[in-house]
Amino acid sequence: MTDFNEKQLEQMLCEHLPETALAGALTDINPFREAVSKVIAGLVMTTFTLQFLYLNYILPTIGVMLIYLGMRTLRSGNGYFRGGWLLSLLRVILVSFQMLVTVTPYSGILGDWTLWLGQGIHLGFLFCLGMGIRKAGLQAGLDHPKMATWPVMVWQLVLLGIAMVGSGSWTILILMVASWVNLIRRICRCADDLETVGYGVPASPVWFSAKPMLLTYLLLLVIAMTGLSLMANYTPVDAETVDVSAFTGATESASSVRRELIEKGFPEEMLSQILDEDLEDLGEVKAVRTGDIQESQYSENRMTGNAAAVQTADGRIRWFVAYGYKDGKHPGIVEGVKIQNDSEQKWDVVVGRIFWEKKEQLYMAELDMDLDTSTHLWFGDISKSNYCSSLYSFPPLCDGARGYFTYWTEDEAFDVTSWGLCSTNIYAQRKILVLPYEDLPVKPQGDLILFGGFGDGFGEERMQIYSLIEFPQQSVQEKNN
Amino acid sequence: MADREKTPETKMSQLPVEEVIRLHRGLLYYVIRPITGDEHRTDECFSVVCEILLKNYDKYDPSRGTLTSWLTRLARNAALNFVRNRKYEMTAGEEKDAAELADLADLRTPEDALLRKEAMEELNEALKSLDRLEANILLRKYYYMQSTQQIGAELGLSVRAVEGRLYRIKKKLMKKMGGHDHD
Repeated sequence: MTDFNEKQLEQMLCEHLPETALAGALTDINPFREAVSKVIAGLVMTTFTLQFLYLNYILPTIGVMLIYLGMRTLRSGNGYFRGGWLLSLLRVILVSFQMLVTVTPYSGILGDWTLWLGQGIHLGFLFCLGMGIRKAGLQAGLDHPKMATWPVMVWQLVLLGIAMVGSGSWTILILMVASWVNLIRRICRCADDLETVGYGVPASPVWFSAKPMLLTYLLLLVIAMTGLSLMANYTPVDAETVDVSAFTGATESASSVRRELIEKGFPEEMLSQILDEDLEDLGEVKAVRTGDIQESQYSENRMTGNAAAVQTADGRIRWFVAYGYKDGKHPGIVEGVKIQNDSEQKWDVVVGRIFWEKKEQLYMAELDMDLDTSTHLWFGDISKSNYCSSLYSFPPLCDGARGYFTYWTEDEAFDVTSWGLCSTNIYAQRKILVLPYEDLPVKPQGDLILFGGFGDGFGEERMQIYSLIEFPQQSVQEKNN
Repeated sequence: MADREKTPETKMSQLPVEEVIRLHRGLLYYVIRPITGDEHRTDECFSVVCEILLKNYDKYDPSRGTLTSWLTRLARNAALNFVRNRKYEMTAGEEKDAAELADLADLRTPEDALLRKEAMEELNEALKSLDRLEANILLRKYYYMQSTQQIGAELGLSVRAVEGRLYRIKKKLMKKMGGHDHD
């Protein structure tokens, strides 16, 4: 190998670059190619609206930042370029605001006004860009420099108009695709126009390189969105320690009730998870029925649970619905429970409790349970249901997450109370970043909806325990006796 | 008058030389300005380039390259000669990068032709390893003789980023060519 130094290398570069492998790239040196490439790429990205893989969020976010970074270089060219740069900055701020609000419960404020504001800024930017190119062309001595972005603005408005008309017809779809193709072609022609006149426009110095700035912006945005999403979803509970003796019939009455329940068929494993205080008011137990785990349970992955019903001597039914995780770990960022049954069965004393272990200590939290009703269609008939719901979050890094819900029901037409219906949906939202924000569907979804419990669940995990439990029929006279 | 936006490259060379100069005025100034340094000398140099173009325009052969590349080379060489002929007039404190680089471009070392050819082959191989951005920076610095400020502004990089990249590019080339980094 040749022995030489830096000075000799520089000499060779100065003298012989046109004869080297880089000769073909000599005329690629253009004052605005980099800037124009960013602006054009940004314009294309902000034109797309792809509704999968979160591209409807990712592409516009990156696109507006690329436009800003490109215009940053051009901002000193003339007043129109400066105006375009400021509008591009405004659009970055608007999109960032939209992204941050979208992950919070306040996403409802992002109505049509943000769409129109964004489109207005975008059209203003296109106007400034076109006028800037025209003015640069006049400065460069061109006779009739054109307003390069007029066609882009026209096609943008056409595309917007078609989207507003909106329908599922093939004609509209073809029109949209044709408009979009024309828009992209016009955008690319703008690039050629700017390169033509760009030699006379001075580039503006920058403090921070484009790529690190883009990556830093995206990283900060994701961190902020994740933080806001966690704050919006995580629902802490008031924890208290609990001793294992609270589950073992420490008092005489609790012990007696437990024995009776087991004798009548209450699952021992399930019973061992229920506090004494939730058993002591049962009174005399007439019958116990449990759900068929295989038939009544629908769990998409890690949750498992069951329901049991206790018919008491006064004819009321006490429901117990318990759930846990198959591996004892991995509760969701936020969980929600929705229990519903026929409105003819009155609710009473609804209690929800969750348990977990941390550092070998057992904790419990009593949940705030909301009662509600809804009206819905059931095989053509309108019926009402009672809803009971709650949202809660287990502490992070805990073990043995589980919980149960218990409530009384009573049917006034007691002599036809031969069955009880319990539908419980438990949702676990595991995503740290929920985009866009969406409540777990534990509340009634509207005034008149399809019967809940079948397919209205959503979220990353859902478990449904649906139990139709039949008891021996008891007459009003027997009840009064 | 013809408008450059509407005239394809192939037809451009058929235009009168005055028209070609008018349409490529921006390009010519873009090439000349970093080499000459200040506006007064740039305007003077531009006049010289125009004279050279008027005399040599008939020598342009479209089959050997585009008009833009021919104009670029002609303007660059003319500007380097202009600077060399006038470098004794430069006052102290001015940026001497262009003049120094112009001198470097003109040095004839005592290496014989065979060593030079071998070095060129190694340089060629080393240059192939550069990515697009590195090649762009190298061309701007050593062919167009632009300042790091201008390079950074046009590429959207900070001055420090340009200086760092140049340093790494030269290190990379020297390593591939088996050189060492002291004078």
